[in-house]
Amino acid sequence: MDMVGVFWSSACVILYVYLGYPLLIAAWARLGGKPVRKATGGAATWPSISIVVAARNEASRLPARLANLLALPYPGHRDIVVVSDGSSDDSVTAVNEFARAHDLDTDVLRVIEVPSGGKPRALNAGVGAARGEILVFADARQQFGEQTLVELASNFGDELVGGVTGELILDCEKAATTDSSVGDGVGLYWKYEKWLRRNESAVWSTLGATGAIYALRRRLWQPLPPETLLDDVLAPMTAVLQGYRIVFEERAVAYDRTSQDAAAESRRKTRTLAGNYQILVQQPRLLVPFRNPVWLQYLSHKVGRLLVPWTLVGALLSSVWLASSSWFYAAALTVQVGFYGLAGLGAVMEWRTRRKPGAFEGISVPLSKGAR
Amino acid sequence: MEHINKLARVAFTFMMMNYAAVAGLVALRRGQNVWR
Repeated sequence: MDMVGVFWSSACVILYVYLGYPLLIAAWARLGGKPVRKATGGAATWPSISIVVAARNEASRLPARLANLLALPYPGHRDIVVVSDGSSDDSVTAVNEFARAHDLDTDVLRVIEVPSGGKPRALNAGVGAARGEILVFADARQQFGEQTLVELASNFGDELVGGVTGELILDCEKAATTDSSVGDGVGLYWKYEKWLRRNESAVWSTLGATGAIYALRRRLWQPLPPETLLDDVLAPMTAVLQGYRIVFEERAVAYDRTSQDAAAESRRKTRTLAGNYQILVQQPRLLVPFRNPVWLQYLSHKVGRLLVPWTLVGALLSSVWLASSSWFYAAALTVQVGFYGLAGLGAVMEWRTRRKPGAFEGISVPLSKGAR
Repeated sequence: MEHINKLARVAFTFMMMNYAAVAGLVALRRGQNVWR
């Protein structure tokens, strides 16, 4: 392939992933969306739910989190399983003391201790102890909105719904935070990502869930391999490959804080994208058109994101090569150089922010795995 | 100037998020523990 081919194939991939596909899925959702038939019946028809909270060293957050989960209205039966993943603090004691103080028996709240082995093992243990028809996954850090359980569960009135992902609302979506170098970008990115999910859900299914807030039919759960990086993509996509849909319920909400630190955000994103590579190995059927009901969406959204960095390099190098031969490629190079210059300025701002004494004290909270 | 700053932050985050795919692949190939 010559340099003109490199430029145009790179440009087409970038434009398709960030512009063409979003427009396509939005039009598809509008013209051929499949509504969910939600449950509207009385208390007897609501499925039992088990809320699984995998936690490591979360003693300080667990009491408030448990109070939040128990205060949420839900007409059916609910129980909570907290899995302490090798905690070295007082997480287990905190849960037991909470249960004693609120007179809760093990039908309502249980804590399981497992040796430190990573979140997939903790989730496998939690699901093994769960009794509800519906599993609701939650982290210790966030708080759920009041109607979250009802809104999540109502979608299971539709037999084709295998799972429901809620909406994670980050503080940076509302207003830029002082000293935040990545909050603006992350807020914008996350809004865009949720808009895509909403449309993918309307067409048939999202391509995963938000780890901080999602629900799954227990019978569709398959134990996670211990090395799994993205449990909240693998578990839902396994249900999708069985013919079920995962829907996005924006009235089920969890609140979280953005990472204020670009390094923390970068580590989180690296883990997420490493997980996207890993899932292609764990579930190669995702790449087979007739095995994956959301093949086009998966290729466009998930695989496309893995390709974009390589095509950014391709577009830049080919522009440099071709710039002297045509004003068009010179202009393309100028635009790219301008963009990288802006990104460089952003990097300098991040570096300066980090140098401020105490700039991140108390606010460098790792972002939820959900924001991917 | 505020608009430029905001654009710079968004551009930086965009680059960081995209090149995380490369970092992710490298980390996975090296067998680094990236999950926690």
